[in-house]
Amino acid sequence: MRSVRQRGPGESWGAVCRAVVEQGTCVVHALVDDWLPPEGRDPRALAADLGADHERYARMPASRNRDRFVASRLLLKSAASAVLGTLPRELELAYKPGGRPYLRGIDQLDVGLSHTDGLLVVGLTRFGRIGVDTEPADRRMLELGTELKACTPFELEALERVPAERRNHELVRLWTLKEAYSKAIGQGLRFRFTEFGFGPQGERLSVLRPDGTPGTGREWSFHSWLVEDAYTVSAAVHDPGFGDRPQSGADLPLLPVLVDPRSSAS
Amino acid sequence: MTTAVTTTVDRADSSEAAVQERVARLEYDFGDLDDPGNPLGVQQFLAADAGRRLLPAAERLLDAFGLNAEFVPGELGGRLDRLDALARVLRVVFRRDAALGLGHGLTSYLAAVVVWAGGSARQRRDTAGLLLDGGRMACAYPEPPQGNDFLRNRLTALPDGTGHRLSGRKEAVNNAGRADALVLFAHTPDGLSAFLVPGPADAAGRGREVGLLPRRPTAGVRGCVIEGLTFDRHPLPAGHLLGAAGDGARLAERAFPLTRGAGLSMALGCADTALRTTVAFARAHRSRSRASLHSARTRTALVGAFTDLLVCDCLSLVATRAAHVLPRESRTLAAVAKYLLPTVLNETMDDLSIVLGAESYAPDGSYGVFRRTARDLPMIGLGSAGASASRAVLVAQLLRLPSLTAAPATDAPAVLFRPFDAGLPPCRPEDLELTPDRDSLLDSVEAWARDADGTASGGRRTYGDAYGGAPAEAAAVLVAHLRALRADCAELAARPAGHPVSPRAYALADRYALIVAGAACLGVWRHRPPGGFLADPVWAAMTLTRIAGRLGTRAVRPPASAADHMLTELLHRFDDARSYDLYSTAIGR
Repeated sequence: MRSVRQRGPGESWGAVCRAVVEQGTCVVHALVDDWLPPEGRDPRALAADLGADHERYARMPASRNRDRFVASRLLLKSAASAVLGTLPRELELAYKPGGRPYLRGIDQLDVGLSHTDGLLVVGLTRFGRIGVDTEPADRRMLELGTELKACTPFELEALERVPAERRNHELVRLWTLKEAYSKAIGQGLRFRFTEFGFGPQGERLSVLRPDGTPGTGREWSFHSWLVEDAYTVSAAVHDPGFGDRPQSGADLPLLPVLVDPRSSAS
Repeated sequence: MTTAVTTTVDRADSSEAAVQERVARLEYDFGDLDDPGNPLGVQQFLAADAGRRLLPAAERLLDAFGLNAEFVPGELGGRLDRLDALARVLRVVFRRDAALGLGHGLTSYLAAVVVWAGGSARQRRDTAGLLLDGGRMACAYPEPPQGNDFLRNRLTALPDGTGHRLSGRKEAVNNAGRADALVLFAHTPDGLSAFLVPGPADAAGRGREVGLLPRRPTAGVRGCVIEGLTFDRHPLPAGHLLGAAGDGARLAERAFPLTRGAGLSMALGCADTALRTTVAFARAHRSRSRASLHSARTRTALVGAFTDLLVCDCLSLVATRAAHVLPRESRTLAAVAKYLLPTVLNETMDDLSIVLGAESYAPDGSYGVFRRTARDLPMIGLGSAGASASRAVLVAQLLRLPSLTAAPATDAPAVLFRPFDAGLPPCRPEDLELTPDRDSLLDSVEAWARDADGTASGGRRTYGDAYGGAPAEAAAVLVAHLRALRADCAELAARPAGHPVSPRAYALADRYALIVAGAACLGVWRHRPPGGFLADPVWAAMTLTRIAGRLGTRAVRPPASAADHMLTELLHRFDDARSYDLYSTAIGR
């Protein structure tokens, strides 16, 4: 699995749709500037696409933060609607009590959202749940005490064995994996990062307990990538194993057309 | 006439007393889950789970108790007379182990209920006899609109002489190999038909030819033996049909109101144990630990989970009792429970996991039951596909709503909301397939919301000194959401029939389910008993606020003292070993 770059609203969603069909999961990244609403866009159309988020958007002062907010919602809703075979305005992006975004009423597709600096990341899965996170790959974390707040004893030991020049990158990778997982389970930063960890790069990843023994089973899978040579992106995907994997010849849209029961009655 | 009324009341009282006695006896027999010396203790259940089997001592206990009699209607010699009571008894089993509850309980019920709903007198008698003798049943239900390996059904039966020949496969059936009898839905030239056939474990060997696919390992309920069934021109002699050829869809419609709400209600037992385990963990931590009860994060997680369990139980209560009281609406209400509860319960587990931290992954030890429950619960809902048939029922109700509002609105009957009231009319399966003629819960919400306020003003923005105002405020939010929903449904239904429904209906179905859950909480509050915790407005305020939050309204916040009050009740129930549901049942002693 890899992260798919999306260059803007005009670009085809073919690669994303194929990944969701074939692998069940897709992670998309894009640049904030590619997803800002163009000058002169009909404000009513933008409001319709943003739905309930529009109110918050309208209240935000112009800032890079507001840019990320609007661009990430547009990217998420565009990606989800392409995969589901509908329009962004037909989907209601809502937030769980813990802040986790989801498409209300649509459990056929789970979504995840993250952004940092100029990068947006959206995760889509048709299995169970997904969480994504991104940070600038060279964000300074070492020697600020972050590792003590973010790593298990097992990870701290493993970190010591990583060559010094790669150690900060490794810490950023661990951090984004932890964020991705705790977002997937709807907890954000509430799950203490010192209480669960991950193994070294290159292994099949699973959540490890603080002493390095296995935590989660095969129902969870984890991925990390370096994208645009500048950002670390991680994803956590939960598949409870009901075998919803696409049958041969399965295709989009994922959202089954809701049949009007009145048509058979009349 | 006086005599008749008295007799009815006495019968109801004795029926409720009998239910409580059975729950107490089963709890006593299982004993204390946390006692390391108990052969039915948590370590034994965890070891059985790791060994992918059901705990033999627990199966023997359930046989001795005669659990199967809970699934057999009274007139056929069993103890099934109230759907909510069935769920309460099974909750005792699910509190120990979901695999045991499914493998030694619910699975047989899911099959038998089709026979009660449409079998001949002889089929009903034979099935009752089989179950009362300790036999097991398994079932292949029709495939919902969205399939997965557990739900897909590719069985076809073609007429052959006076009977049929069955071909095809069903990938995953719990207890397939252990079943004495199978209920199979298959496509026939007349449409969907249901058959009652001898299973692989049939004592007379009549099910020898049934093909079994290899056991399927699952992430949760590992003790359940889930195998596939395969048939190749398998003979089904005359007399195996349930109802007439082509009756399958109708029978499934009758069965769903009897299975969906009750099954999820049983599963509340799993979440109950998970919450108790988490409280034990928090209690065991010293005051400066972030897991202790001194930490706001811990308190919030525990109170949130307790509140969610009460929401789920109010909805379960209504969804099960509706089969008796509001038969025409019971299909919709059971679908709401089936749609909403799996999501809420799985999120409850996630919310509790932050308290346990690393211990939430422990495979054994004092808290090992938490990880097992977190893996088991998703298996009960079966994910997105598991909810798809229920979602279709909700969408049909959304389209119907605008035409139902013309009916004069009267309150839903009080008996629907009273957990300990056994005065329910018997359930008549043939009534369950009728189209709903109203939406009693939604119709009642506005009236109740005014009532909860004690005035007709509604919508006060402050709670005042007591929690008395809190239910009113949260209820006003519910009413506002209901009005918006009605407007959206009018728009949805205004589109000409015969065209695909707008995808907006998905989000509306979710809102509808939440509003119904809120209405259930409000109804239980309105018809509350005179004393005890249910008479305290704090739980109504907390549950309604929680639902408002899920509907996207964050403005309503209960006072901090309300959360403290909930925590006090939570800890009291922990110390007194009582369940975290509407019943506050004494457990394991």
